[in-house]
Amino acid sequence: MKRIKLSLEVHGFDDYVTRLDELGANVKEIVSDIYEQCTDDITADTIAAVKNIKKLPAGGKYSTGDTLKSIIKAPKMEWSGEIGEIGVGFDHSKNGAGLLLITGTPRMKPVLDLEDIYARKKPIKKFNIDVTEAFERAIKEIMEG
Amino acid sequence: MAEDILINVLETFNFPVRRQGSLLPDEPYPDNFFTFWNSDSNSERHYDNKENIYVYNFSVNFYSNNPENVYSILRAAIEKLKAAGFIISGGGYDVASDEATHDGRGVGCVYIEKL
Repeated sequence: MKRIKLSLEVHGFDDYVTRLDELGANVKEIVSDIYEQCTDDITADTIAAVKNIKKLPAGGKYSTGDTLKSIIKAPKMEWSGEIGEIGVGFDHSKNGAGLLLITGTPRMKPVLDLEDIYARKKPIKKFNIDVTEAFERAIKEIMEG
Repeated sequence: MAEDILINVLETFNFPVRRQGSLLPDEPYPDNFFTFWNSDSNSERHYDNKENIYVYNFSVNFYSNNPENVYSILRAAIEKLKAAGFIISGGGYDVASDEATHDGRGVGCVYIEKL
């Protein structure tokens, strides 16, 4: 089954990581904190989309139980060596219609609010800005001691 | 237009081509059919205050009551779409079906239209 991946790459990420490393910072801890905070909006938007029963198939009858429960509420960064991954959106190991709502079926159009997040990737621009600002703040705090 | 090119390619297989979600609740599934959905069309490469290209993102799905067709027809569609200028990576993924009689597989396609 398709897994919807939302790429959370940030412009200048490598430069920020290099700068933090040069300042002797705990890079993984800072990156984890920043990404975990800045994905809050994506989680909130996903929950809002699944709760908006007027825009859901069958008035949300099949969408607001297990599907709502399958949303990852507090995404955590996981590290494999130097590569970090954070899961946002729907936990595909749980029951729920999250993926169906995003991709649709021959009888059901994709849910537009979820498409905005996971297909059109509209939150990414704000995510980029939030993460960039968080990196700038973190670097400033370290430099100011 | 990208959508016209997509539909024309898929129609060469002589199976119905429908927009995702357009089958009525009581409309039976054809034995074999395609669906498609255009999730986005972004303008890129602005020059002289004008758009230069559109980048279209489509998903193309194939459903069949013959499990072998689900793989072979989609693979053949991927090759034809690539020949028509679509950018496709990978061999597709399973997609959910409303009917227990049918399986489905889909693929993401990108088309760059120069203006």
